[in-house]
Amino acid sequence: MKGWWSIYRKELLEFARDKRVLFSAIVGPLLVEVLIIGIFGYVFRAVETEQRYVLFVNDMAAAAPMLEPLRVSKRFTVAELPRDADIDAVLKAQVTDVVLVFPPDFAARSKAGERPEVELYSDPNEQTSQIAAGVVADALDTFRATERGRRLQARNLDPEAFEAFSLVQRAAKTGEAFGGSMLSSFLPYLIIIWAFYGGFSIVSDLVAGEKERGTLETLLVSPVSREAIAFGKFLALATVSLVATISALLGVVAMGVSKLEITETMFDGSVHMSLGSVVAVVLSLLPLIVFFAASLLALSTIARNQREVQGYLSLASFLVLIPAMMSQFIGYTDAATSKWIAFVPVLNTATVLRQALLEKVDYRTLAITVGLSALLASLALLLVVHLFRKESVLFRT
Amino acid sequence: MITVENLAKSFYGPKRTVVKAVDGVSFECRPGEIFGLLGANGAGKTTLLRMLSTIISPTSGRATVDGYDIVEQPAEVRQNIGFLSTTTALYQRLTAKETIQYFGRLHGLSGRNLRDRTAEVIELLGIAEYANRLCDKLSTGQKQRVGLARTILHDPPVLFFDEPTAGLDVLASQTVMEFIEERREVGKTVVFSTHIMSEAERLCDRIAVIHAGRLAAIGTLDELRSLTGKDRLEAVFLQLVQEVV
Repeated sequence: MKGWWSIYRKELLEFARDKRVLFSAIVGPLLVEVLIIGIFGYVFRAVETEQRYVLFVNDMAAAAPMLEPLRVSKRFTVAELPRDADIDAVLKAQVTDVVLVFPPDFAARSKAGERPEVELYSDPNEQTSQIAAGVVADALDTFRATERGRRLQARNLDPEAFEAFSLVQRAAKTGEAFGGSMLSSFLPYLIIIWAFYGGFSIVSDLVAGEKERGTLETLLVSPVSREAIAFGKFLALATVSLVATISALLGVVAMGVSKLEITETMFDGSVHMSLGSVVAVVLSLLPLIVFFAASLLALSTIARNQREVQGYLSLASFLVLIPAMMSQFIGYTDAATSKWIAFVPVLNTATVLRQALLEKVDYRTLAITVGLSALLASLALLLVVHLFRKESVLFRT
Repeated sequence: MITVENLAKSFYGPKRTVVKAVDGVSFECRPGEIFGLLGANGAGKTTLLRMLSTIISPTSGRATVDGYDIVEQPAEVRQNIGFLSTTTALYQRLTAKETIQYFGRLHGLSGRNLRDRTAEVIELLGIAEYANRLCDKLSTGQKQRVGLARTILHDPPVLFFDEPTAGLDVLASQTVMEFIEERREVGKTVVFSTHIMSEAERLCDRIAVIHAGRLAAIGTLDELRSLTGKDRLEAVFLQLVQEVV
């Protein structure tokens, strides 16, 4: 199979001179990872620490002792609910995030040891309203527990005697996850997307573009075998996809080690990864990249021209995006530990990546994933070689 | 030396109809000869040359190029031919020199041999001035010179030119035709396909008139004139084509 190296080298030289390739395979993945992690980090941090909420209360005097923790946190602006205000309307207009309503005789009934009903209104369609309601409810719960204890003690009763058990939450020693649970849920998706999209900028040019420009005929008339031409081009595409994937990974690592304030919530774990997990990441990604590269090259070979390739790529994107997106939510279901996951292409790699990030690699899933991806990659490569041998495909212009 | 015996190529057309692009063509072409394939667009010239250069396989018939069978020994055939057509282009992001060297490597040249041959063809075709310029930045004539350079870099005994002057201006066409004449002088076997009568008259030692995939006649210009009783090649061509129809 002489000549594949010359073709591979020439393709890489052309890519290196193409600004589109440099951007989409090197700068793009790195920049996108940095931006996504930065933006998500900023948003989550804002929600957790910086987001300000408005709470309307109809009885400021009654609410004051209960809302002391909110006043200390400085995240709530507590204001009096205007008299005759329509609660649904103020919530809908987002004038306030939550409304706390005390009955008119609250103070008297409370003093009498009764259990008056306090209403907490929130907008079920607004996330900020839901978050604010949760924080207010927590503050009220804390006040209620303190008040309950005070009342029991006033009757010479031990508050703890009324608790069936005490609860202490502890973190199990399951290993240090890379970046924490938040990152491990969407990082596999971002990495797989780049393994797939990394080669997009060049794939249409590789064969369909050569057909259109007439350079393919020049290549076919050289003594190099068609297998060598196909292999050289495949390897060039796989290299670009690999570079894009590595670039994306570097973007993540760069954000992790830079320890920026805005990404604290994203990297709540360490940025350390065991050697076993690194090996699992490499083993699962390599055959997938080969599979992607061979499949994309097959599409470029089948297509008459570059425009037709773009149509095929749009359809192929869905086949990759859907299982890749599913990987983001797999941690919320019991599917993450199901055996069938290992047999779903793309999703299986995402699962292995997630397991590696969480330092929980299941070697059976890893073995099936690598085997299946390698099988698919081999079939796709055979298809490319078959297509290159068909003159009808190469001369469809 | 090229021998072609009853070569044919069929394609499937619309609604699975069979289209005979080349239909039982036979001829011989000797070293030091420019053999012309004269025919209108779609006559089957390109398909015939593509078969001889092993890019596509014949449906039936046999042909040898420099002694190698086009079906049994395609790699050897491709090693011994140079192919240039109007539809073959250059890589935009390679320089002229890189393009020439790339095709040299594909033909098995390397090291000093590749460097020396590259220097020779750059000198021969007057490419030195723009050898390190990207092909994207070259004029049509300059591109055609680079195309010629990559065609002869491995010094093949057989050369195929498929309408090599189409789209070129007069000066660039002159360069190409002079180049083809020089190839004949150094003993190469040249097949030259064209639909331009003046080019066929000037270059070809023998002409094969091809129409609808079939050979209408073969001979020197004088032989074709006597066969038809016409003087101008255009008139000769039209009469021969009408006989095929």
